Amino acid sequence: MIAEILHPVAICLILLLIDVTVSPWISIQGWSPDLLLIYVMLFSAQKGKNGGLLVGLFAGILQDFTGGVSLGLLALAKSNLGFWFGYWIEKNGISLSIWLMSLIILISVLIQDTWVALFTLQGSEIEFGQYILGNVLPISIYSAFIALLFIIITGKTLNKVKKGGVLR
Amino acid sequence: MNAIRHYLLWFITTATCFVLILSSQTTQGILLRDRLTDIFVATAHPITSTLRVTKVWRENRELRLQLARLSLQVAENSQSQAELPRLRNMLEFKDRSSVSLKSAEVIGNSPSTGLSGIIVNIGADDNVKFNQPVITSEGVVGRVYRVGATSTIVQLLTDPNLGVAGKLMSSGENGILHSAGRGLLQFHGLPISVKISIGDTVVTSGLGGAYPRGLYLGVVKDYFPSSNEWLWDIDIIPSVNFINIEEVFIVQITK
Repeated sequence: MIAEILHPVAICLILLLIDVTVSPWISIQGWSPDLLLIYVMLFSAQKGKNGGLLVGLFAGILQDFTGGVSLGLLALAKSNLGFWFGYWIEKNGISLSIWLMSLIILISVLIQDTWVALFTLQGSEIEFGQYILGNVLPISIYSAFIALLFIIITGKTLNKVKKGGVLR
Repeated sequence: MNAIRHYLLWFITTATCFVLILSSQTTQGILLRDRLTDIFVATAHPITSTLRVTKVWRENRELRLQLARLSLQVAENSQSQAELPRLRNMLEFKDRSSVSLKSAEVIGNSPSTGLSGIIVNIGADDNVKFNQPVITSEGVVGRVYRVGATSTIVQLLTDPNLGVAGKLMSSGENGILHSAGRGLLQFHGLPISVKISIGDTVVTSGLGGAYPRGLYLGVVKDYFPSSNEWLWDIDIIPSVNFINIEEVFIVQITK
């Protein structure tokens, strides 16, 4: 039980450290993948909606506390993305291929960063659409690519799931 | 019953997040965030330092060469410097405000997607204060955004919410620069009568007092009519490479 809790906590802390220290080395044109959100979505695919909700909350709070614009902003986004994604695959018994998983991560990063941009760009002179196309979309694509690489390298198999079941 | 429990958990989590959002600007919320950032930075610092050790020996060699060149310059300047007090007295110049630079090592990037920022390894203990300008030898990096006891988050010029008062060197025309995305800055709304050249230097104007005058911001890349036909919008290539900053200087104005 304790190991089940400590494992995602440790992974989130490590990913945050990597995000802060190593991301300048792996960023392209200043675009860095959102490693924590990738982990939240993969965790939700494996453990279901409640796991995705709680890991998303923890990961979001970590990011908010260590450099966020506002407390709770990323926690709200990540927890809800983890919950509703887990809910969707449980309810419909979705068969997750690696390509579908990458697409889901792309859409998740897009949703999260658009949500954050709605808050941060208020009063800014930057055009919202231009910011989404020039910043948010490339980050989403890059994150999806990293997720795809991770799934291929680690050999995670995303098996067919029966309706109402949870991915293992 | 199970379903109700799951939705209840979701509701409690979402409500907690909204409470956090509403309380994020309170004094306690800010203090708590700053404390946790300090703890996190203390953990991240050794990792960043280890990653950079491969660059250190090369930088050391380059710095020794620079030191030798600068020593020669100092020798030439010392004679001119000796004459300055006498000349100032003659012209009864007032003392300019004195500026000190506090060097800081970049620990990492701000992990939040809502803020384009970097984290540095000094804070309030080193007299760092909110809104102090941050520069490198190349030019303006940004400003101090959040200050912990031993760490600081710097908001970069590439953040869409940061503006800086700038000036075109050739014409002296003033304006406010903002991030334009695509790694560029932009001057908005300069009068169409202003003469603009590609490659023209842009520096801080000093207006508003947020940044000292004369710090490099970038060079003009392109210009085009604004949505208002009587005004120019100017794209500017920043003088600082924001992707690869390792050390910055925080400008502390003492007078």
